[in-house]
Amino acid sequence: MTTENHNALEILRQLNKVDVRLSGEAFIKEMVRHIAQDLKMSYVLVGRAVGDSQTQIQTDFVWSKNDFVANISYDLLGTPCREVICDSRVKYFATGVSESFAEDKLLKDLKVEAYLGAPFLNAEGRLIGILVVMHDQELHDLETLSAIIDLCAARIGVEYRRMIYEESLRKVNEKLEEEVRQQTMELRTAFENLQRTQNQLLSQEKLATIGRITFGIAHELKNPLNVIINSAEIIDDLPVNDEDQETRTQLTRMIRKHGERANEIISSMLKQAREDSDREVGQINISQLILHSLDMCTRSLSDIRFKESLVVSKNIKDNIILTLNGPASLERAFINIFDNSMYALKKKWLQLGASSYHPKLSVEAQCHENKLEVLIRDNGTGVPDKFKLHIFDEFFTTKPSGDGTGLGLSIAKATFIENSGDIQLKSQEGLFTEIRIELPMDCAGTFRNSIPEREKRV
Amino acid sequence: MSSTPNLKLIFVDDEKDLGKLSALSFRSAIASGAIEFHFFASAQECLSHLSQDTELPALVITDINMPEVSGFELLDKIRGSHPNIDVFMMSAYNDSDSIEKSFEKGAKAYFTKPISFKNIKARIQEDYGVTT
Repeated sequence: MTTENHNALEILRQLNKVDVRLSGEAFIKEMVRHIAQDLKMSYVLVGRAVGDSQTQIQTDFVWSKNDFVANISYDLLGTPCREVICDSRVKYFATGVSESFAEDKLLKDLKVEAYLGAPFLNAEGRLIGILVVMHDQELHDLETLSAIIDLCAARIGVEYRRMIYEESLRKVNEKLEEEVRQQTMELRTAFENLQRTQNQLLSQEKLATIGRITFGIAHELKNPLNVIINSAEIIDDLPVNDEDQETRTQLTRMIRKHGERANEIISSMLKQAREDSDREVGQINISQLILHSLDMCTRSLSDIRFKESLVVSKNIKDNIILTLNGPASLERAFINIFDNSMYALKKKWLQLGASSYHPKLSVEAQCHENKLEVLIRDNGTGVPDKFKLHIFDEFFTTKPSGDGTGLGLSIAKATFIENSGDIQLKSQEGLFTEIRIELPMDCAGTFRNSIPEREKRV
Repeated sequence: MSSTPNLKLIFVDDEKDLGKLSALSFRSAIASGAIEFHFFASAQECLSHLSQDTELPALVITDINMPEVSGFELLDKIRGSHPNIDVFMMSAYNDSDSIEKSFEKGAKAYFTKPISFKNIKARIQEDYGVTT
């Protein structure tokens, strides 16, 4: 069997017929089959050099006579393969190879006569493995044959390199995926923590608003309590006779009336403290809501001198009804805005002194076309230009630590936006701050009559 | 009985029920003529009473926190036009600011709400020798 019987070109053409769509193991396997069948070789094997100093071969494909057989591994010592590997180039023995390598039992067992081996290397020139073809008869024209085998080995080497790269790529991918998974988990935990913190902060802000308001309003309770306690004292002192029955009735009526008033004050505070269970959409008398928020803010002023010098002007159209959700959060939004005004007014009042400065707060609410416009203007400290961009940002505050959470206006903005409205700020440092709020109105049913006038008491 | 001194006393508080209460609290002294009692629900009403040609009171007891004209302003005006009238202040505020301010402006006493009529009566007894 020699290549003389074949046209070398024809063989190459055959070998080249290996399906180009195949790659890796499938390609090599097909290549091995072609080599065996096209070159009519008894044995073809492809193996990798393994072991610490690459002294062993582990085969990946073994063709014997008509088919693939089980893989084997063998020591290089005393084999023709060792010479291939040591010289790093194709080697052939046309005949008598079993006798030349007497130690190689495998050659003897297989009755191998001729041997051709070609190494394949990695990109750095280091050995990957070896392609071996063996035949049980003498071979001729080994120059051509070895050139073909060398070419096949090179081609197989490419596939091995590809597999090695793919394997390392897979490992890198796996590692990357693991890292991504790890990071995702860390991010998720961080996000959950953040959410928890945010919820805590939101409720802290809510409590802070309620705290500021209730602290002041607690004073309000003293008026009805004053009446109740003294009524009880007078009843105690009344002589037990029927003549004073009318006085007694009058006093108990007063106790009841003022008890109810105290209850009303507490209810209005509790309305704020309540969780936002009032998320459902409903009709709200926004005029009263604004007045009530303003009222709570002015009542809560604890500095009586400042309170006295403050002039509040109100121009709020009566009984504007809007369809909105969350009246309690809306009321808190207004309270926060009024509270900021009070803060700025008082700061300036303390700086300039009561004789030269007259703190003013004006609140207007009017309907324009299909929207409600609320203007809240104070002649307080104003907002410096550099802060204007951030005034509605979460956690932005210029107040000293402990005085503000930096959430008031950001929550207010979110509340108005949630109701399809908007809030804007206009200010000149040292002169004024104007907050403009817009809320959409439905065209019909925005006004309602017969809403009782709130009890007015500042 | 014959030498009971007569004390004209004015109470000012925007809480009208406090007027009823103080009238009840002082009722025996009012009945015996030991005090002449008036109640006004606003500083303006009190001022217009003082501007009339009537006998001036010896004592005005006023709330501080009232709409429109506050107790401080009333105090200022009384000190300005009728320096002989004594003024007691009442307020739910018990901070040193409003207490100091009251005394600076010339108030004679300061009672925090809830007020105790017993304390006010004791003070009247002490300052004017009138048992109510």
